[in-house]
Amino acid sequence: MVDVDIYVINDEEYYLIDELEIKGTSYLYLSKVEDEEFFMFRKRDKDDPEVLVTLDNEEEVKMVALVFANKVLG
Amino acid sequence: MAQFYDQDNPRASYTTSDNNMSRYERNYNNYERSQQTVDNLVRRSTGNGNVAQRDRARVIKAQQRRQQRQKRIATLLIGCMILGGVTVGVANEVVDTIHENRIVYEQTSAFRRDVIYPNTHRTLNNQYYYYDYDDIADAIMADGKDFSTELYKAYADLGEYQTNRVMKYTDYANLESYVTSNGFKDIDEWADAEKKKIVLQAELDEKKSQLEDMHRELNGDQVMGAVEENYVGGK
Repeated sequence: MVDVDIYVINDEEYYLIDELEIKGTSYLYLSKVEDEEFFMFRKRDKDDPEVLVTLDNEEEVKMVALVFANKVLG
Repeated sequence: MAQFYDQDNPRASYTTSDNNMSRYERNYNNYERSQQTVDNLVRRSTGNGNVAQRDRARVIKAQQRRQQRQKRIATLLIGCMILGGVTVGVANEVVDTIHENRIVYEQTSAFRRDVIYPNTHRTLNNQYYYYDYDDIADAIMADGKDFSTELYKAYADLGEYQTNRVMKYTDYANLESYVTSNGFKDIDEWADAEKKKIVLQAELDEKKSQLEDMHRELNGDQVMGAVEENYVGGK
């Protein structure tokens, strides 16, 4: 058992599964506490790291998904 | 019907109607049942509309088995990406690596299912496992099999310590002496080379299968051509 951070976003709780820096941007891999298959990504705002921002487009989502999957399964 | 190993109860087994179904495929099917799609992930991660959504998150601490969750989610993600057709245009190198890892995983899983599990037993106190090392060694040395590749599959599942015990039933004292006598710097270098070999072999097999299909198609055309020729000739 390890300590993990739970992020509360809009009153919903998400486990922080991982945080990876890709090309200077910090991406968060989040999965809902109530339903682990409900996962999503956010990135930290460069000016205010406490602010989590949605990704720009589908390509960015796929890119961070691939990097994460490769890290965990690789 | 294929038998699968129940880690909590090794004497019990369960079956699947598809002999060729790997653990990866089962995960994939589970994924399909969960009806998660890449669209869901994209929608949740990009928010609604064209304007970026910004949320100030509050952080609290908890405890959990992080690695298990990571692996489960990575498996789901891969299923998600395959379903979503994420194969081109984005991080091609990473896709290749995932593809390669999947091939190696499938091959080592098949070895685990067919060789390791049938030769795995629990100790009397049910706390530990022991293996039929001689039978595993026989499988590695079986005629027509690449010794080094089969050895890698055993190593990938058993680790160095148990593999060394298997090696006692071969001509080599241990794994390290085998890899160094074959020109590798260490076990890691040998393992990397074996992984590449497995991927190459799988790709070769795929090409071979495609060629056979082409041959069959060609022969079928020739047969059809001959039938048509005879028919025309008979007219």
